[in-house]
Amino acid sequence: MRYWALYRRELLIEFRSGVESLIPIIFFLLVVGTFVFTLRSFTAGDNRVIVSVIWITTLFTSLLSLDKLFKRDHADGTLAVAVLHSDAITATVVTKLVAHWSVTGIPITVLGPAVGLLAGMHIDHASMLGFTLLIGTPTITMLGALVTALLVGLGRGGELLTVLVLPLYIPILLFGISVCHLHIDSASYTSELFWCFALLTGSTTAIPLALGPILKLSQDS
Amino acid sequence: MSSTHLTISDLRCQPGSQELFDGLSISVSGGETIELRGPNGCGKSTLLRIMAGLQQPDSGDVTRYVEPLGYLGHKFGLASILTVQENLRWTSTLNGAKFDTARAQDLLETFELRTATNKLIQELSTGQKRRCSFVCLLIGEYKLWLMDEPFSSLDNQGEELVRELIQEHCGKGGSAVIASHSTSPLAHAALVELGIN
Repeated sequence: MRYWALYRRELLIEFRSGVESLIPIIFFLLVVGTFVFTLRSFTAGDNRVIVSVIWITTLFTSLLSLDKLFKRDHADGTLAVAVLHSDAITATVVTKLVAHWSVTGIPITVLGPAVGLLAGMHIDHASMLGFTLLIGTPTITMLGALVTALLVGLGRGGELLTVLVLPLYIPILLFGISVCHLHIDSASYTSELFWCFALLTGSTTAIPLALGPILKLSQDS
Repeated sequence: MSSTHLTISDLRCQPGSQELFDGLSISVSGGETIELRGPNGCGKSTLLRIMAGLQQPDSGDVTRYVEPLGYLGHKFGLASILTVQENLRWTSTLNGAKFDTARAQDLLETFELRTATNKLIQELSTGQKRRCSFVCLLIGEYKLWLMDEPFSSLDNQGEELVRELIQEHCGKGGSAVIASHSTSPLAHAALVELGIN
């Protein structure tokens, strides 16, 4: 009940933010569209290039959206109120992350393969791309949230967030792209897929628990 | 018999080169109001934040016997793109309580915010936002209130109302620690003078 109420609140904030919430998705479509359709003549319909472009753009899109994950709550003082409720902070953080993934991760998971199909990807390859994004985008949200929480009290984001978070994204990027490439080459991708699941499981179980104390510490700055 | 809500002992805080306090010990019990007084920069807000757990002291112990605490800082603690009612609901959710619409309406009536129930916080005046944050504090049913300049932005009527509510809260066994610049001290409040070292 509490989780559902908090999730609704977060979604409401996202929807009331209007265009601001849509900017990351617009950015994603513009960048992917620009690369995929301008490089089409050079790549000769190579699905591996399309997959790589979509995955890399997903990472940059997350940077754009994660910057404001805790910033607004920190600015209006609601983050301070939330961290004082130690029994509710995990629920607050989890619902915030799920809501963030709902408005950025899910659209990317749907739009990525859709753009791939428009660019001439085979439906099997596009489906696998969608599947890896479905596993990868929550992991990206979790890892990004960890760094964002560390930076929120400092009033820093932007360039510092990019420098700190991109190295953390490398494993999921490599495994996500590898699964798609191996699938395109009709090779075995089981171990890479397991690594994607391992990263998803690890990040979604450990990071929400760590975020509460981190956000409380971030108030002390 | 009143219970202890919070104790701080031998607290030292020195952010940067200026020492704010050293060896400070305070105990807050149910029914007690403590008013922190002192010039700007003497550490009243810092002390409240330390009491709340939002800031760490350089040394000393803070023990909170009641949690969560109701904290009213310089920021209102209200989401600006949510309505007054949505913010009140959030406070109830954080406390794991069912939102009591009738009680919320009564409190909004008391604070003359009834007509603003469905207005976004960003549409309210600063004084109305301050009043709304008081309603959140009351909805949360916190035992210990930590309030930083609670009378700022309030008109005389609002200030009087808040004074009465603090007195009523402490009369029911609650406690309050208040940092204030108000010329008239709170009734029955124990004064703690902080100075610049």
